[in-house]
Amino acid sequence: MTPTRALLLALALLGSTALASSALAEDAVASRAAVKTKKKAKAASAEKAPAEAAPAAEEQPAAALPDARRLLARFTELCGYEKLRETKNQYLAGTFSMPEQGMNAKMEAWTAVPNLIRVKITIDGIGETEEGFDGTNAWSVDPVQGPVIKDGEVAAQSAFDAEYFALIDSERFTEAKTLELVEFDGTSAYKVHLQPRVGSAITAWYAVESGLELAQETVHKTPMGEIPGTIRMFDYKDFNGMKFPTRMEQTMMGMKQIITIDSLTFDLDPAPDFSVPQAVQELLDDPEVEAPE
Amino acid sequence: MRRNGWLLLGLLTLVACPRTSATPRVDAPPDPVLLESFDYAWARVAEVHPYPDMKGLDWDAVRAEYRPRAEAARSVAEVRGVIQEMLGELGESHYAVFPPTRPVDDAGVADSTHEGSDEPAEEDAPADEPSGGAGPEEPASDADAPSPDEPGADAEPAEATEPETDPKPEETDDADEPTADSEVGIEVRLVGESMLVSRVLPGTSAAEAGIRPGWRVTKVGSLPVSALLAAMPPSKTSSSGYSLFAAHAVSTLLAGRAGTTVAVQAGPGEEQKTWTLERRPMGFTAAFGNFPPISVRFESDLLADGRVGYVGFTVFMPVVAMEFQKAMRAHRDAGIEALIVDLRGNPGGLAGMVMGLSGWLVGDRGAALGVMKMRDTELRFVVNPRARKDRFAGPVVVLVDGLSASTSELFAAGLKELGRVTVVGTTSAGMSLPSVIETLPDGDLLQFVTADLLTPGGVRIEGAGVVPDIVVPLDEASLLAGDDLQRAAAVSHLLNALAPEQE
Repeated sequence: MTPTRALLLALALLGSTALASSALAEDAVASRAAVKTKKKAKAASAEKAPAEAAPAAEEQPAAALPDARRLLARFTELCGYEKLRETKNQYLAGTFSMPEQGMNAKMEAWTAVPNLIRVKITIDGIGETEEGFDGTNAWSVDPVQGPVIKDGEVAAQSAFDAEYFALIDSERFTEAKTLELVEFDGTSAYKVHLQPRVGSAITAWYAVESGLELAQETVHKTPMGEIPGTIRMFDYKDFNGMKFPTRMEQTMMGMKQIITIDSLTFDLDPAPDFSVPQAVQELLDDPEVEAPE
Repeated sequence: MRRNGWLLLGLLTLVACPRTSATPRVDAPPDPVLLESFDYAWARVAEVHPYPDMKGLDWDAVRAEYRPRAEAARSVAEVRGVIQEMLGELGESHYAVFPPTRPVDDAGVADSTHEGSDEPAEEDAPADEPSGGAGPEEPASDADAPSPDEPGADAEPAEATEPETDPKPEETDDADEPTADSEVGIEVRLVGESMLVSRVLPGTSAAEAGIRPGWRVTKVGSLPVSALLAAMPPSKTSSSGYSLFAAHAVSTLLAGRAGTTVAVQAGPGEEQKTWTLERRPMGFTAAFGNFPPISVRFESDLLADGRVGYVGFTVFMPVVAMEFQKAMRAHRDAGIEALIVDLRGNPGGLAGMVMGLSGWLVGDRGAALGVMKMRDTELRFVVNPRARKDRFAGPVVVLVDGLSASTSELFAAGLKELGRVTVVGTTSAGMSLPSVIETLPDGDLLQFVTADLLTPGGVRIEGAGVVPDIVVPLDEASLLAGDDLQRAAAVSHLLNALAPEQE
């Protein structure tokens, strides 16, 4: 999403991969038909991870499940993401918190075509943490870890996540398969397997009735290692004719993080600055800082 | 966030397992929130414990044993005691429960050496007429701390007396607990059976009063140190745990609100006097998440005629990163040849800070300092090198002692294993587990472990600590002589290391 990117930005720092997206313009008849065949099942606890969500009471024959790419297309259509093509950059403002740990932060993100992103999270008691991709370099800087230039798979993931038109990129996923009809947090949903061109496989849940994406589960590649995480999307709202979730709850390493989106602004003038911070530039200028083979 | 791992606390919160022998007030109705808090703590620990089998501990049986006592609890303090005792069954560090505004010492360390309460034993007296460090006074004959202008302030010193009062304070309302954000300027260590002043910080009331390193501290407020030591339970966590808890308990009693005073009975050997010392804010105050404000001190100096740079800090909090940067650049500009990083007494902090700070000393991006093993993944604390113009390439000593814990141990052990530093001092606390702090339904705070921590070579720091390359214990005589043997050994080692290069 471009705004997706904005969300991405948020999601990026928060550990989500790009929101599932597809530009396939297929109709959603199959999806809607599937809605009518959904089975009632015991509502899964909202506190449970998606992997723990109770399966549908009755197995769905594979043939009865809608095609995954149609689900993606329906989601894209419902949210109006084709309008992204009419924009060039966006600015997101929101909050980030870890309520159980008493941690609160202000969050801002700037994204632009084709794949520029800069995310700033100002955490109470820590200060500013920044992360971005300037089209060439994936980087981060914060008072805890200092400046970092990402490399390898982590950098590739950052670049992939920074793609402005991710939500309307029909080639974003090399695999897309509807796995089953399940009850997800009390809502009938299709559980979908997605394999992005870059990064780990994603399991996504799409509501049968609304067509909206409810959650994603994936493994995030970080400089410290791989971190499994699950993110739930709530409260879709309209921004510039497009729908985006304005509340996201991410569970990672047993801790819950909450992201809220307060505003999304498109086509800032002047355009946002995506140049790397000075501390990162100093690393780029230093030929001795090399990643290990 | 993607880089969530660095948010984990490697900060040791010291809560001595209390003896919850207080008789429940059966006349008071049970409050469901107390039992909810117990259940939450029990479940949360199990949910994120790095090992699904709880390392063989029958956690269900532990619940069965302690829950009836939680059911009988009639106050937050009572259920806190039950929870803390339950957490003690785990036998590892970084499991603690404490009130949200409990007193903390200079390193943000919680005190609960008192049964069923977090109230400091001494009575905080406002320093209406602060006189800096007051003169020596007769040891108080009752539980009250004398005020600075009390008759007898200039009296001849008297021998320390045996404990006359019950050190157990009255149970108080936790909600009114003040945050202890100020200090008198004394660092203490347990050496043998004596609680010694290991350092007097300049510009403090203790320094103005003339208190000296090597002096024995025998009483703080109304609480004889001997009684405190007798009440300290043996540590289940590490061999140095008892000394660590004892020193931090005294530090906690010494700390308090700015402007209040505390009576301290101290002196060389048996020559004891009572001093009324004012608590004053020191250094920076840092706060993070659920953890209360922490006083952070950072020091930078040049030793050995400017050849050896020195940095020391009391906790790993973000404010330290900027001070570290300033110090390293100043040292670079001063042309230092070697460096000492003093982590003695540092109980840790934000675990991820080792990645940024080590980058001033190591140029290999991605070199690992430690491995966090969680239930569903493993994360590495890696070095994030600074630009070459900033990195220090000379020899480095990291100073540790039995009060260096958690993130301090990760920093020292990781750099030692990389061969980048020489560790000098005494074996560290052996309390290293990454943790988080969450709020219980009753408002108390629960600290619990989220991961195991190993060095890249697979060595577990928890329980064992970081063993120095050069062991230099403290002793009373050298402290009295004004010598910091550990720092002197570090300087000597570094100058020797530099010597061949000069030939």
